[in-house]
Amino acid sequence: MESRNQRIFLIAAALAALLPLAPAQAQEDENAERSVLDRIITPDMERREIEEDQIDSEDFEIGVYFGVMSVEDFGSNEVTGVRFAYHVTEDFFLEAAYGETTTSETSFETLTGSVQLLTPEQREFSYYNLSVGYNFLPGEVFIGENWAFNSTFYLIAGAGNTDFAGEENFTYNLGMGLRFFATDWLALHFDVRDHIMDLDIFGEEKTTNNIEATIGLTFFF
Amino acid sequence: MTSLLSVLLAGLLWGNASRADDAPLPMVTIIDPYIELHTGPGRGYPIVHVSEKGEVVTILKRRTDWFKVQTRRGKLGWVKRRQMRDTLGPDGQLVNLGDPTLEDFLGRRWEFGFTGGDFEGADSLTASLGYRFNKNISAEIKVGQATGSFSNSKLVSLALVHQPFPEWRLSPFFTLGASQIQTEPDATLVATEDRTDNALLVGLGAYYYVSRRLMLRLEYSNHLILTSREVNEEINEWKAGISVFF
Repeated sequence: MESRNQRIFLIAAALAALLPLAPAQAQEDENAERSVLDRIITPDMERREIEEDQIDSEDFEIGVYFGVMSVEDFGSNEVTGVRFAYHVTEDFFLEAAYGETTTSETSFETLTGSVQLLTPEQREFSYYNLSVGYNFLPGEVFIGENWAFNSTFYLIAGAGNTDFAGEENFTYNLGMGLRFFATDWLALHFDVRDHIMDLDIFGEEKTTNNIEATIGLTFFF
Repeated sequence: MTSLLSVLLAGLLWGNASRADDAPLPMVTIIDPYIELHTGPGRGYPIVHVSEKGEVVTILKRRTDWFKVQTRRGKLGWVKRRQMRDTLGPDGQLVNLGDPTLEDFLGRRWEFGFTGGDFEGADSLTASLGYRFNKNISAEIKVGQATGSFSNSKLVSLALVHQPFPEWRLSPFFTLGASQIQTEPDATLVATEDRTDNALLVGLGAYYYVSRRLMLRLEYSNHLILTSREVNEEINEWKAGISVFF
């Protein structure tokens, strides 16, 4: 009786142990078969997919500029600024710029001697603008016999704000420039820009044209 | 975005050396009958070399729709995307360097744009940055400035944008958000105090996909300023501008 019980127990134990084993065994065989097949079918090299993201892009441009800015009635003075651009296509780009200049006395103030229309703080002229540029007349410029450089003229227009004479004024800007590529990623800019805004510091509102001529250096990245 | 940020940062730090990893540059086999290598990334720049079908070129970088390539013999030049569209990779697989489609637009996460317009009679200028959660919903932060005859305002707003039909070329959208408006009266007028108000905003508008990454955007927003007075004040804002996707 005992041996019969023992046998039943043993069979049950063996079954319990084998049952889960059987599918595992099958799985293992299948895996082995698959890896053998894989080794034959899949070439022994790493596939390198080429995606556009792997290619370094250079659509951004950042740089500084300096030059002269003539602020209507307040003289011509040095201006410095920074610009940041994103090139959307070969033709169009978007540009954000910020510039600063310190204006000088009006002729009236100089002549009368004692009258000061603005405090020194109010004479600080700063602007920012967001503009759209159009690359126009792309081509080459030649320096001497052996050097040819890529260049492009651009037309640019936009809007922004100017902080001057203690108030902020909506300002349009309009201009053109030459971008001279020293290398693929380094460019010189020669830029002329008119900043047009309405000023009311002399009582009545007046549209002023403030012309800026600058030289700049930019990097593409 | 992380790649954009790293490129931005690397670009700022290292100028041109913005390749973060040392992965080998991609090499492709030309499928078009020939490709033209220009001196610069634009159709106005002269062609200095022509490579034939079957030649292998290394792609160095891209600017807008131009790829800078180097031939086996070391010639450098810029090739237009159209001629690179069907090149083959090292294992003979097709490489997808085609034009980004509207579908690609919808997969892009970040949007940057600026708009100009009218802010209840004042001239306004706004820059916006948007993040797209899925094809329909995006969040947007806007910073703007409006300059009027009597007062100037600065505005920051945070809004959810819903585009019910993102796949349409002219695609309408609705916005719902909150804004903070800081108003300072014109300095040449009698001295009054600056004030800051919170506002709720609802708006609607439309995108128009012009090409590639560029969109036009037209928008109307209504700001309901929550004042402590009896009546709440409303500001209507109209603006038009452009946006790009990253």
